[in-house]
Amino acid sequence: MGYYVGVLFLALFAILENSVLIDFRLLDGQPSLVLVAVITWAWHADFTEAIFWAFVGGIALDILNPIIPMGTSVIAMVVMIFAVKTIERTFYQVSIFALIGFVAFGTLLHHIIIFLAFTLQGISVIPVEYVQNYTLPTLAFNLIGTMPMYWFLRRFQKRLPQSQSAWGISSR
Amino acid sequence: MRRNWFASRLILLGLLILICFGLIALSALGITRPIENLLSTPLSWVTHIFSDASDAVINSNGDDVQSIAELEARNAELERQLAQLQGELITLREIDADYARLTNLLDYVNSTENMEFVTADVIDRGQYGFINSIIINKGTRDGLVIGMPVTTDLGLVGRVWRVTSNTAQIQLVTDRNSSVSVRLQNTRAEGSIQGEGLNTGSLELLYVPLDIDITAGELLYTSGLGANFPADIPVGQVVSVSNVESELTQEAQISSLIDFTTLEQVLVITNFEPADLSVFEEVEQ
Repeated sequence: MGYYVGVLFLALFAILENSVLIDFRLLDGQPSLVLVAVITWAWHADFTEAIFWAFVGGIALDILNPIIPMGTSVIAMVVMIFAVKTIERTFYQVSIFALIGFVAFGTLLHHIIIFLAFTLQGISVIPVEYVQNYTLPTLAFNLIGTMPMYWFLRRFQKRLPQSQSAWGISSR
Repeated sequence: MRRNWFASRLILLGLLILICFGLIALSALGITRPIENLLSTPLSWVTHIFSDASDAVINSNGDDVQSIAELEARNAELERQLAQLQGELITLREIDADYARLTNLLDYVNSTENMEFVTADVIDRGQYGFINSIIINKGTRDGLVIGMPVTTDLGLVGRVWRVTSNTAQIQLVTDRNSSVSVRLQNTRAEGSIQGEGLNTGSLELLYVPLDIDITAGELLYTSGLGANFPADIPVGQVVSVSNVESELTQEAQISSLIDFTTLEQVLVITNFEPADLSVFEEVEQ
C-alpha cells in the first residue's frame, strides 16, 4: 500500500515543488518537498519501499526539470535511504530528530549532484553563488519543514493496512 | 550476520547507483525521451494548472500590495497637504483675529471726534528701566512725541514715555509711577488712579471723598484734569471698595478692561499735547 501512496504523494509533491513553491522562493532556494518526503517516509518504511520512494521521487523531480537528466536526483535519494537504514540498523535507538540531520545531509548531497550534472552539461555555475543563493535557502526550508512533513506522512503511514514488516522492523 | 547485511546492502546500493548512471546516460543520449515525454505530459499539465492558480493568487496579492503602497503614498500626500492647510488655517485665524482687533480699533477711532490716531503694533513688553511698559513700532517719524496718550478700543493703555525715530516706550497705567486723573461714571466724583506694577491690569483708585458712593462694576473715565490725558477715555471698572472711616478719603480696587499680557495693537492719540501745569504751581509759590 505504501507503494501506491508513494506514487501519489511524490507526484503531488513534485508538482507542488515545480509550481506553487516556485512563487515562494527565498533567493533561488525553495523547499525540496520530494527529498524531505522520501527521507522522512524511509524512517519507518522497510528498505524496499524506501528505495521505491527514492526512485519514484527522484524520477518525478527529474522529469519535471528539463535541464537535469533523468536519474540524477535518484542517486542522492538512494544514498540517503541507505544511510538512514544503516544508521537505524546500527544503533538500537535513534532519536527522531536525527531526521533533521539526514535531511540536511541529503539536501547537500542532492545539490552537489545537481551541481556536478550542471557542470558536466557545460552549464556555468559559480559555486559560491550556487551555495549562497540556492543551497543555503533550500537547506533552511528543508530543515524547517522536516518535522511537519514527518508528522504529516506518519499519520498516513500508521493508517496503512500493512504488516509490521512494512515499517521496516523485519526488513532492516 | 550484520556484516552480511551490510555487504548485501552495499552491493544493492552499488547496483542502484549503476542503474541511476545508466538512466542518466540513456536520458542524456535521448533514448529515454519517449518515456520521459509520456510521464512528463500529465505531470506538466497538472503542474501548469497549479502554477496558474498560484500565480493568480500571488498576482492578486501583488495587486493588494500595490494598492497598499498606493494608499500609503496617497496617505503621505494627504498628510503633507493637511499640514500645509493647517499652517494656512493658523495664518488665516491670525489674520481673522487681527482683522477683528483692527475693526474694533477702527470703530473706536470712528466713534471719537476731534482725535487723530496712529495705529502701532506692540513689539515687546516688560520692565524697561523699572518702568512697567510696552514697546511699539512707531516713533518720531510717525509724529509721536513724549506724553502722548495711548489707548485701545477698551480703554487707556498709558502714555509715551520715551521715543526713538521708529519705536516708542509706553508707560502703562499699571506702572507704579503712573497717575491718571479719573472720574466715576455715576457720581462724576473725581479721583486718581495709580498702578500697582502688575500686568494683570490691577489698579488703585485714590483720593475719592468719603461721602461718595462707589459701586462695584462702576466705570471710570479720564477726567482731563492735569492736562495729561484727554477726558472721557475708559480706564477701568471698580472691583471693590475699601472704606475706612478714619481716613479722609476712600480707596477702591480697579481692574482695567485691557489684558496687558496679550496686547498687540494700540492707538496713539497724536493731536493731544499734554500741558505742563507745573509752571502755574511755581507762580503760586
